[in-house]
Amino acid sequence: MKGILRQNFRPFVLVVCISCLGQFQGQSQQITGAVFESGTGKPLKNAAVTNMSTGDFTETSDSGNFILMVPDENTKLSVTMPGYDQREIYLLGRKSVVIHMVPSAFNSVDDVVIAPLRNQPARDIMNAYAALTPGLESSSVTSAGQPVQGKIAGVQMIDQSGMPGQKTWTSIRGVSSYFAHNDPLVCIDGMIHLINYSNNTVIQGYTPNPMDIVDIDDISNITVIKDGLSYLGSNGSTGLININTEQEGETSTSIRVHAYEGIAMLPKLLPVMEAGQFKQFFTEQLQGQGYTADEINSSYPWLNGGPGSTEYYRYSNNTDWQKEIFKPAILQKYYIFLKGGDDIATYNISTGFVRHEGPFDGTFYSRYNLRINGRINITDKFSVTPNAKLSLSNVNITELGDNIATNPVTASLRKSPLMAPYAKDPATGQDLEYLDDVGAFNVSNPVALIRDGLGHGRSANFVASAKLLYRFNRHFSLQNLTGLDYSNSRSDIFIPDIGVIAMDSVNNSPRAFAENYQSTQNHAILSYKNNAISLHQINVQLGMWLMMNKYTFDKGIDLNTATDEFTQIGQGNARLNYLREIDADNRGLTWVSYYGSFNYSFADKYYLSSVLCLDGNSALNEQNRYNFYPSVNAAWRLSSEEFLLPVSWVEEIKIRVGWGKTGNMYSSVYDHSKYYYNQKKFDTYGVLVRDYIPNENLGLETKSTLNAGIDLSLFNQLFNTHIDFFQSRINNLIIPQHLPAYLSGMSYFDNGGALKNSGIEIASDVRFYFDKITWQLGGTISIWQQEITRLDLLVGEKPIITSAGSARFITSVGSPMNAFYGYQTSGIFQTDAEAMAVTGPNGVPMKAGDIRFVDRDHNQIINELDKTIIGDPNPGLFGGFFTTLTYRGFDLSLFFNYSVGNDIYNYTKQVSQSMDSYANQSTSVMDRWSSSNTGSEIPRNAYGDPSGNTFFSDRWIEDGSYLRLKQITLSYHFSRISKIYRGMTVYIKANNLLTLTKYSGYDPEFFYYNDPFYMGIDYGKIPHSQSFMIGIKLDL
Amino acid sequence: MDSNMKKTINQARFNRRVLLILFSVLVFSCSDDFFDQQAGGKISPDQHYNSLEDVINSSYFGVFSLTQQASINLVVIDGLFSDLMETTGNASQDMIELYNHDVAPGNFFNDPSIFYKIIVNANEVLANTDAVLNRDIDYDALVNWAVKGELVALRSWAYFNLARLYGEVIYLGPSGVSSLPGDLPVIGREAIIDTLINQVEAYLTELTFIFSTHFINKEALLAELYLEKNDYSHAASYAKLAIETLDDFTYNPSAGRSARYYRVDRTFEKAKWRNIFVNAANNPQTVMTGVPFSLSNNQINMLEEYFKFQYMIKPSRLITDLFNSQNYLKGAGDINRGLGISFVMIDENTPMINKYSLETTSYLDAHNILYRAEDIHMIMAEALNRLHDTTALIFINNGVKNVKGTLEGFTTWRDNLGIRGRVELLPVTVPESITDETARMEYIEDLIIQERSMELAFEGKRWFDMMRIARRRNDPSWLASKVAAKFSDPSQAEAIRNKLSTQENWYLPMEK
Repeated sequence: MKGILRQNFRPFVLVVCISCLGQFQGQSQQITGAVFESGTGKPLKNAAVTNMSTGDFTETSDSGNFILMVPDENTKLSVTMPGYDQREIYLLGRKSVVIHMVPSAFNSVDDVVIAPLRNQPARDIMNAYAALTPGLESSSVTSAGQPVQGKIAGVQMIDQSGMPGQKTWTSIRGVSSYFAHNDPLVCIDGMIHLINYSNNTVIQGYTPNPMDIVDIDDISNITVIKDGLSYLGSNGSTGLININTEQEGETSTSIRVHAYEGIAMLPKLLPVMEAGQFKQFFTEQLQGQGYTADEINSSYPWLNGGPGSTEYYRYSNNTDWQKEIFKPAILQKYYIFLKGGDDIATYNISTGFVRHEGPFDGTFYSRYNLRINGRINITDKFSVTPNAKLSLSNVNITELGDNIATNPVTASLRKSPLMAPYAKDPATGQDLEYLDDVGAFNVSNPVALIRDGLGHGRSANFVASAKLLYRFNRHFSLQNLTGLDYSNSRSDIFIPDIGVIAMDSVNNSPRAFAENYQSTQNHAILSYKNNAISLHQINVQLGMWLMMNKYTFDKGIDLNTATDEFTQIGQGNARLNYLREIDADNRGLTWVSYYGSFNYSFADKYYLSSVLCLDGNSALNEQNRYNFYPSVNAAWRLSSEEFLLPVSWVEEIKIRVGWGKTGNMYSSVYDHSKYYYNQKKFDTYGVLVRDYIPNENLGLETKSTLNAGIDLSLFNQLFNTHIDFFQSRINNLIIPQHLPAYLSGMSYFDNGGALKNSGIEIASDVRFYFDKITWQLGGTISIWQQEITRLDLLVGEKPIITSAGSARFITSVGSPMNAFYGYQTSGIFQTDAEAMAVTGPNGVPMKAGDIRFVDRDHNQIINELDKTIIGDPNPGLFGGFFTTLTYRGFDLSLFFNYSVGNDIYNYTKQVSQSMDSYANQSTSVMDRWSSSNTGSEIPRNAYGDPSGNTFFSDRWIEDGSYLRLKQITLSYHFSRISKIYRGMTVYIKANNLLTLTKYSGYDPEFFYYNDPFYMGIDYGKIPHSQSFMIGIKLDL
Repeated sequence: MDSNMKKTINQARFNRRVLLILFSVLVFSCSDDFFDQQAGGKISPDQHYNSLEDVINSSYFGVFSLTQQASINLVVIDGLFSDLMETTGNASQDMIELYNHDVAPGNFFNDPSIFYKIIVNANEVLANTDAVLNRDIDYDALVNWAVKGELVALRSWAYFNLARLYGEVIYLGPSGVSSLPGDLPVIGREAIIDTLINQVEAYLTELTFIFSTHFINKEALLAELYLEKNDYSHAASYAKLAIETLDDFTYNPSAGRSARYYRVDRTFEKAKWRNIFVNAANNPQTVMTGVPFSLSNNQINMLEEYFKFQYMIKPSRLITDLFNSQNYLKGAGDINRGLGISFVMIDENTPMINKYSLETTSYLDAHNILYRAEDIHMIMAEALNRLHDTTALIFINNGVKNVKGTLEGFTTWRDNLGIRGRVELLPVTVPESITDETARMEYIEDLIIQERSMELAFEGKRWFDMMRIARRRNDPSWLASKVAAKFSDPSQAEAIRNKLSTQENWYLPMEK
C-alpha cells in the first residue's frame, strides 16, 4: 500500500498546478496536461498527444507536460507512446488533464479487444468478456486453450488427463444443454474453428485435440466473450473464445526463437498390496469360497510350495506394477518466428516442433506447426490479409477408459504383485524375452498393454483464409473474410491377445477410425462509423456470415486375428462377424446469419448497443429453420461523469447490463425434427425402419442470458476488477420423453425442459511498486449454480436417468443436470441378525460385514427406490490466482488453480477396493471388516461380491476439490541489445509442483469424455505429474 | 475539376458499385438447396419411395424385420405362460415372473411396443406407396394393391397378437404416428378382431405376392381370426384356402410343375420332419411365414441362448412325457418329433429344448416360424370338428392319401399324409364309450389341441390355443388346471390355478 500512496502523491500536486495554469488561459481553448507512467509515476517524455478532431498534435516535454490548442471543451485527445497502450479521452470540460499510461504488458482499459465483429478498447465494451495474452507462465502447455484455465472467470477448462495431446474440456458458464454440444465456439483469426465435431474414436478415453491448429506461441491474444453474442445466432449459446495469432509484420526483419527442454517426473503412486500381503488376501479369498488347504495346494501349487513346485517362478515375484509402467518423460519444443516486410506487404511466419512424452514408455505427443500471416496493401483503401495455418500431430497413447482389460492404469493397480511382466524360465526363473500372459488372477499384464497395446492418433489440420478490406471513406468500409477449415484425423489401436484378458470371446482386436471435417466460411461486414467530431459515437455493422460444414467418419472394429502379428482391420475372424463393428457417419451442416449491430455512445458515458440477427441452419426442419436473436446492452461509465472526473484515484467505474438471446444448433438430436428413416440389416440385406416419432415442432434450444457487471479500475489502473452476475435460462431444453408403454420402442424428443444457470464471476488484479520491485497479484473466482427448473414429462413423473458404466446420473427438477444417483451407505452391518433382515441390491439377504445401504423407504429391501442424489460432478466454485514479482530482469511468477465442490466417482477406488475377484487391491483393504476387526469402514472380503457391496454408492463418490500450484516460473531477461541478439529471456519452470486435495485417486483434475454424461468419472486417467523445464527465448 | 480527378472519382464509384453488387450477391444468394444437408445415416421420405425396389426391398422388408424380436417374445411368453416350459436356475427375473404369471410392467418380454412398431411402420409405408405409382412404371396399381394387402396383413397380425396377449388394443388407425398421437381409442378383443377381418378381407385378391416366406398368409390369418370368434365355417374355409395358396413362382404348368399347395406331404415325412426347421426360409413347401436371423449380420436368435447356451428355460415334464408316451408304429415315443428333435436330454433329469438348435452348421440364427402348413391343417381340423364334420381327424391322423375313395372337396389333396401319419405315429381315436355328440366333439378337440402342442411345441402357439378353447367352452379351469399341472409344488400349483381361473388374469399388464 505504501507504494501506491507514494506514486499517487506527485500527480496530485501536478493536477493542482495545472488547474491553476488553466485559469489563466481564460477563453483561449488551450488545454494543458501531463503524461505519466502508471505505477511508477515517472513522467513520460515525447509522448504524442493528438487532437482527434483536427489532427493537431504535440509531444510531451521532459517533465511529461504538454500544451495543445483545441476547438472546444468536448474534444477527444489521443495519447500514444511506444510500449504503452494508446489512450483516448474526452476533455469533457476539463482544461487540463493528467494521463497515466499503462505499459502494454499489463491489462488496461485501453487494451484493444479483438472480436469477430469489430475491435474496440476495453473501456467501450458492454459485454462480459476477458482477454489475455499468454505469457511465459503458459509456455509449456501443448494445447492453445489451456492458458485460459483459471485465468478467465467463468471458463472451466480441464485437461483430459496428464497425457499430452488430448482435448481440453472447455465450458463457459457451465453446461447448458443435455443433448447439444457444450463446447464454446472458437474463432481463430476470424474463422470459426469448431471444437465440437470430434467425439468418436476407437481408443477409449482419448479424444484428439482440435486446438492443435495453433501453437501457444503463435497466439497474440485470447478473448473470451460470454454474452451479447446474438450476432452468432445459433452458434452463440456456449460463448466465444476468440483467438488471434500474431498478424503484425515489421518493416525490418526480425527473428525470434523459443526452445525448451524438460522432464516430467513419475506421478504419485497409489498404495497397493505387495506380494506377502496379496498372498494372504488371496488365500483368504480361496478359503472364503470353501476351498480346503489340499484343494488350494493342488490348484495353486506355487502359493505355498517351494521353488520345486509347478510354475513357482512365474508366481513368486514381488512386482510393483505402477513402477513397471510409469516412467519419467522428456518434454521439448523448438520454435522459430520470422516477421518483416515493407510498406506494401508484411509477413509474420512461424514454424516449430513440440514433443512431449507421455508417462508410459512409447507414449508421446508431437506436433509440427506452420503459420503464415501476411498483409498486402493494394491501395490506400484496399488491403488483403491472407492467413494460413497447418499442423500435423502424432500421438501414441494407450486406452484409458472404463475397460479394466485394456486400461494399463487400472490393470497396474489390480495386477497381482506375484507375477512379473516377462515370462520366466520354469527351471531357472530367468526372465525370458516374451511377455507373460494373463495368468491365474485374470488381470491383464499392464506392460503388455503399454508395449503391444499402443494406439496411434494422427491428425492434419489446415486453416486458410483471406480477408479483403475496402475503406470507402472515413465512414464506410466493407470487409469480407473467406476461408477453409479442414481437418483429417485417424486413430488406430490393436488390443493384443497375449497378456490381455479376453472378454466376450474377443482375444485380440484391431480397430481403426478416420474422420474428416471441412468447413467453408464467408463473413462479410459492411461497417459504418461516424468518426465523431462530436460526443456522439455511432457504429453500425451489417453482416452476413455463412458456414458450410461436412463431417464424416469411418470406424472399424475387428477381432480375433490369427496372431498378434496381424494388427490390421480386415484380418479378423469372420466367424465372429456379429461382434465386429463397422460404423460411419456423413453429416452436413449449413448456417447463415444476417445481422445488424447498432452501437451508440455519448461522451464515453452512456453506451447502448443492440444486435438483431436472423439466422438459419440446416439442423432443423423447414418450419423452425430461421430464428431471430436479439440482444440489448447498455452501460454507464460513472467515471466520466463530472462528479467523478476530479477524483484522481478513480480511473474507471462502469456498470453494464445486458440481455441477449442465442441458440445452439450443434446436435444430432435435431434430426428428430425431420422425417427420417434409419437403415438396419434384416437377414443379409439392408432395410429401412422408422424407429422414432418425429417431432416437427422441435425447436432449436435457445438461451436467454441476463448479465449485470461492474468494471472497476482504480489508482491509475493499478487495481482492476471485473464483477459479473449472470443468469441464463434455457426455456426449451430438449429432453427425451418416456412414451406410453405401447410406443416405448420409439424415441421422441421435445423441448420440454428448462434449465437455469446462474453465477458470479470476479476477476481482479493489483500491482504494487516497491523501489525496483514490481509485485503483481491477481485471481479469478467463478461461482456457478445450475438448476433444472422444468421437466414436462408426457408420461409419469420419472426423472431422466442415464448411465455410464456402473455410474448413474439423474436429471430432476430442482437439482443440477446429471447428478450422481446411487445408494447412500451408513457403515457396515456388524451382526448377521441385523444384516439378514435386509435384502440387498443383489436381491439376496445381506451378511455381517456387508455395507449397510440406506433403506430410504424403510421396507428392508434395497432396490431402485432407495437411490438418491449422492453427488454433483460440477464444481460450485473454481478459478485461479497468480502472483508475479519483477526485479530488474528477473521475473518470478506463480500460478495456482483451484476447484471446490466437484464430486468425483472414483472408479479406480472401486476396482481396487471391491475384493470381488483375485485382482490385487489397495492396501486399505488390509483393514477390511472381519469379526475381529469390526471398526473398519471396508466391508468383508467376499469373492464375486454376492451381496452387492460394490454397487454404485456414495462409497465411491469423493470430494474432488483441489488447489494446485500449476506453474512456477523464474525467468531472466537480458535486455541489452548486442550485435548478436536484440533480447533474450532464459527461464526455468516447474509444473504441478504441489497439489492440495483430499481426493484419494491419482489426480482430481481430469475429464473422461467430452460429454456432460460422463462428467466426474475417474476411470484411471494418467495423472498430471510434476515436471521441470528450462527454456530460452531469443530475439535476433 | 480536372479530368484525372474525375476519372479517379469514377473509378472509385465503379469500385464501390462492384463491391456493393458483390455484397448483395453474397447476402441474397442462399437457395433452398443450401439447407438440404445429410444427417448421418438417415434419409427422408422424399429421398425414398421412388421405385418398386424401394417399396418392397427396403420398406416392406423393413416392416417385416420387426417380427424378429416379436417372434422371440411370443415363444417365451407362450411357453412360460402355458404348460410347455419351465424356468431353470439360470432364468432371469423377467422369465420367472412370466412363469409365475406375475408380470411387472417393466418386464423385458412384456413389451407391446414391439408390435406397435410393426403397426406404425406398416402405416408409414401404406401412406407412401401410392406416390410410387407416378415414379416407377413397373409399379402399377395392381402391384400397389397387392403390396398394400401384405402390409395390412402384417399389421393385422400384430394387432391380433396384441389382442390375444393384452385382451385389448390401443388402435392407431391409419396413422403412421408422424407426430405424437393424442388420445387413442382402446378397442376390446372382440371388436378389434372384427375390424381386422374387415381390413384383411378387403385386400383378398387373386394376385398374391409371396416374398419367399416373409409374408403373412392372409387366408391363414383370417382362419385364425374367425376361429377366435368361433365362426367355424369361415375359419375352415379360409384355412383350406390358405393351404391351397397358389405359389406363383413355382407354378409352371408348361414345365410340368403343378401349382403347389401347403400339403403335409412326403417332403418332411418320418425322420425328415426335423428338416422343417433346418434352413426354414428355403422350405416354402411347409413354412408359410418364417422369420430369419443372421448371426453374421448381428441378428441373433436369442431363443437358442435361452434354451441351450444359457439354459434359462427348459421343456416342462408334461410335454416331454406327452412326447414319450406316444405310440410309434414300431414302438413307444414320438421318435421323429420328440426326444432328440424337439427336445433332448442332457442327462437323465435335464431336458433341453432343441427345436432351435437343429441347424447344426450354425448357431444363434435358427428361423422362427410364425405360420406353417401343419398349424393351418390343424386349425382347419378344429373348425371342421366344431362343424360336426367327421373328417376332422383325418387331417390329424393319416391324411387324405389314406382315405379310401375320394374325400369331397379334397380331391386335389392326394399327397396329404396327415400330421401323425407323416411321422409314423398311430392314429388317435375316440373311445367307443363316448357316445354323446358334444362330448365326442370335445374329445376330438382335445386330441387336436394335444396334437398341436406336440407338432407346434415351443413355437408360440400353445397359450393362444389354451385361451381359445377355455373361452370357447366357457371353462377357465380347463386352462387353469393344465397350467397348474406343471408346478411340482402343490401350493404354488393351487395359487396358479386360482389365479388363472379368472379370465382377466390371463392377460399381460399394459401401462397405457
